[in-house]
Amino acid sequence: MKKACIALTMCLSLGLLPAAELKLSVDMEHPVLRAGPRQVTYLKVGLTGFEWKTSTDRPPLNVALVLDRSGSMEGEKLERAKDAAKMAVGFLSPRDILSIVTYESEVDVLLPATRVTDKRRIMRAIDGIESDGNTALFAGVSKGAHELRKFIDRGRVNRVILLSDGLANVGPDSTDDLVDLGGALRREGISVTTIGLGLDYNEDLMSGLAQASDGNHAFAREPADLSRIFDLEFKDAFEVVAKDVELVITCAPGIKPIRVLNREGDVDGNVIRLDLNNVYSLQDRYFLIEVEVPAMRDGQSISVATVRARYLNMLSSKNDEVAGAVLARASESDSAVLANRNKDVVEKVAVQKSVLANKQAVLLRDKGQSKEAKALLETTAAELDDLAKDLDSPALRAESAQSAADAAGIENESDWQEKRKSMVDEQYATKNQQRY
Amino acid sequence: MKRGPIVAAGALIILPTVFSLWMGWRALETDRAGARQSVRRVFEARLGDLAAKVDDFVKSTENELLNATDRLSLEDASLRAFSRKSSLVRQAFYLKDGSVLFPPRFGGSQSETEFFLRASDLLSAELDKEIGPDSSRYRPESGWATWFFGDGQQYAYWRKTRQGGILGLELNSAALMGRLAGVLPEALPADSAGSGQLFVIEDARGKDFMAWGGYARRQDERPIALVQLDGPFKGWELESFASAGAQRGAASAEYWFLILACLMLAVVIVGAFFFLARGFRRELEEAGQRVSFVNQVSHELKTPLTNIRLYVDLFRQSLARLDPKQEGYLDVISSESERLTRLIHNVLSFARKDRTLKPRPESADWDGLVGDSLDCFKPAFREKGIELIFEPGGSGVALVDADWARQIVGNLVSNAEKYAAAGKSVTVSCGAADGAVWVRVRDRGPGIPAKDAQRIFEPFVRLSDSITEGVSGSGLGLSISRDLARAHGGDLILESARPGDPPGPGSSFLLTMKDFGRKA
Repeated sequence: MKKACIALTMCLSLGLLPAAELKLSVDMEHPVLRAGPRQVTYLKVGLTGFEWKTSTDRPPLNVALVLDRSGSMEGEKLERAKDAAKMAVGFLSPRDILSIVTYESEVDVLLPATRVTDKRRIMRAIDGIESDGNTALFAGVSKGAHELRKFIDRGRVNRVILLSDGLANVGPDSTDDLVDLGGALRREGISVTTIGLGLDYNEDLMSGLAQASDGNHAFAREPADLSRIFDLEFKDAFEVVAKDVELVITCAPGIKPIRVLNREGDVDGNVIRLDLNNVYSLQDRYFLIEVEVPAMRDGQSISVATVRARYLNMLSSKNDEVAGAVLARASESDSAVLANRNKDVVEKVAVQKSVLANKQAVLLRDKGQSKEAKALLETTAAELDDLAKDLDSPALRAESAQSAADAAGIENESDWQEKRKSMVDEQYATKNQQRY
Repeated sequence: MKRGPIVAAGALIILPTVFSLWMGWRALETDRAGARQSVRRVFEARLGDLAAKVDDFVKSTENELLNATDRLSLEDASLRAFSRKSSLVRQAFYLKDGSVLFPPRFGGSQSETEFFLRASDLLSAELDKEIGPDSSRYRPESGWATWFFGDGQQYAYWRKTRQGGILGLELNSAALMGRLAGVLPEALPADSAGSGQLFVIEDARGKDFMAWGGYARRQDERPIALVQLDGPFKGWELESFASAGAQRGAASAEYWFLILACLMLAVVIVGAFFFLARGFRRELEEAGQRVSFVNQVSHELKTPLTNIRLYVDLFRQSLARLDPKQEGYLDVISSESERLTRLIHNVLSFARKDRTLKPRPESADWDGLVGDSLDCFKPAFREKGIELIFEPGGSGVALVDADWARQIVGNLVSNAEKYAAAGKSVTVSCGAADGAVWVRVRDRGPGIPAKDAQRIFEPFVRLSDSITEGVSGSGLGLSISRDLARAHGGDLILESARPGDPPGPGSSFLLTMKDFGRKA
């Protein structure tokens, strides 16, 4: 009996019995708040992807490659894109379903959704792609989604990988149109990863589409970068551990949610709903909720929020649920407040606020207010630097350096196109904890 | 070649070609209008196919939405959850008795508040009042509504509920567009592919939504065919364009046929012209050959005749005395050979008619020249009993072409001998006046009717009446004589009766020839 207990304990501790699950963490920036009138503070809801062991079969992919072959892609751009596409095909197996859509003024389904069995045929089809015409981006993405729908399944990672080097100019072409489309696709369980090639694409549109659909976004400065990015993207897609994630954060009475720092979430009274298409292996995905807590007396303890996360576990193919809650208490002692602050959350709040500042700086620069943009970034860099010293945080130091670098370059006319794209790229990755 | 014939020939070729080209073009245009009609019908049919696909899409979307909301509870929580989950529906709303029961105007989530902003036009249209709460059979059970918010067209699908209200589904426009783009064909049928054609689906604001085909249309080009969409896509249009070449299609082949046919016609005409020209030229050549042949033969003929005359003269001189009969024989030989010579001269002159006649003046005593010409006629005249009177003018030496003078005078006297023998008298007078020398030959024959006065000078003309019957002649004499006279700066005329002339019938020919030695 004793042996059995020891064995069981060992098993439990080794974590063999419980299946891999998302880890939910709910933390206050300041678990101990300063007693007094109502105040604003932050709440971090984190989801951590479990590790996907390479020994296990990864979830099958249902992917549509949507490639821009407009006239501007002619030459090396298209060649590198084709190389990257062929390399990606090499990654796939007969368990995966691939479709390839190319677009210029018209849309052409080069490869309708099909199991990846005859790779050579697919490679040959890719080789035949030629460039011509305009950019029917919306139609291209739509056709890709249409192909995905043929084999859409919760048990597959359904993804559109969009490559574009220019501005959409045929069909719906505004950022709002593409963001709305992305949102609709996300609800179908389809994510669109957008890869912008060169300096002429619309980074707001591309990043917006990715954001709305929970895809990744990448800036490929040179055609030679494409292979590396495709590689990273497919690796990412192979490591989706959770899908169809529904996060519901219910604030306790008296707690007023104001906004989600790094997400366009739906604030519905005291409930915040966040839906996510993908959580990746070992990814630390988090959301920062700005809340207003009511006036508190010294020693008072309140419940802040309860959090529930439902998701499809890609390993077990089961719907899992994980829950958590968080409290806070008040104290008159400033040192207690300081001592108890959650450095991780403080850091992350600072990082996400700097992302927001970075976005604001870009908007100012767009309006021609370069000086104000620069000042904003410099202020942000300084604040981050102070906090970095306070928390002894390398992450914050890096962020501060980034802000400073952005400030230094923001007034520059000649490379603003490129700079803007890389800033948008950075913002996106930081905001969404993109893995590459 | 002279310019006149070339111009005429050119006109002869160009005019019928152009005319037939024009006629053919007209015919083809009519044909083409008909062809255009059928081409337009073909394009319309293709657009009709596209429109049918859009219709199918709308119907399947309707079915999807109806199915999704069939058993949907109309409570707030249920509608909220539905709105959040649906990828096509942005916001569900519920209208009853003129007011929006869901979502709440105030206190709702941020997206619900935004809904009222987006859908203000829709809601102010008072959909429920328009549709009517009662389910009478004349009123539809479900339908579409579309309006504009800012730049974008918005769509809503509604259905009546059992509870008497209207459940509306505000759609995510981009999602709807995306699905439409997904189901529309990626390429139109193979025969329409290619750079000549373009099929476009335009949204309500005239912006291209999707396009097929490579033809780049101009800014304000009108479409060949147009189909208007209905239902939620009212205001959308399907249009097809084609390059002129693609439109003509088979018709362009016809144009080539027409042009080819006209070219062939032109070729045929040109060919005919050249054929004729060649024939004509050949004839000319032959004529020329004939002429040169004639020339050759004439010269061949002249030589023996000259010899005959020479030997007659020698013979006459060699014999001291000839009896009258022998003399007579010699005279006949002489005059006949003269006649032959004269005839040959005439023929030669005539053959040379096309070339410019150039007189070769030489000094001669005019009276002597004329008198000599008459000599050979004396025997014949004697025989015919015609009196030949010579009245020289004593004009002296003149610079004239002696051969020509002899030929002309010979012709005139010969004519008189032939045709005016009945008059029994021919008077030849000559002289000089006004830088010219003249000869008059008057006979007492039947005369020449005034109407024929000019005709007689035309070649080959011999007056067909009793005068000429039984008389041989070529009809050339007067014609040649006049040409020579005119070439010599003078003329040969038939004189009309003058006062002071002796009465009675007869003809009087007056020859004038310029005297190159004398000044007028």
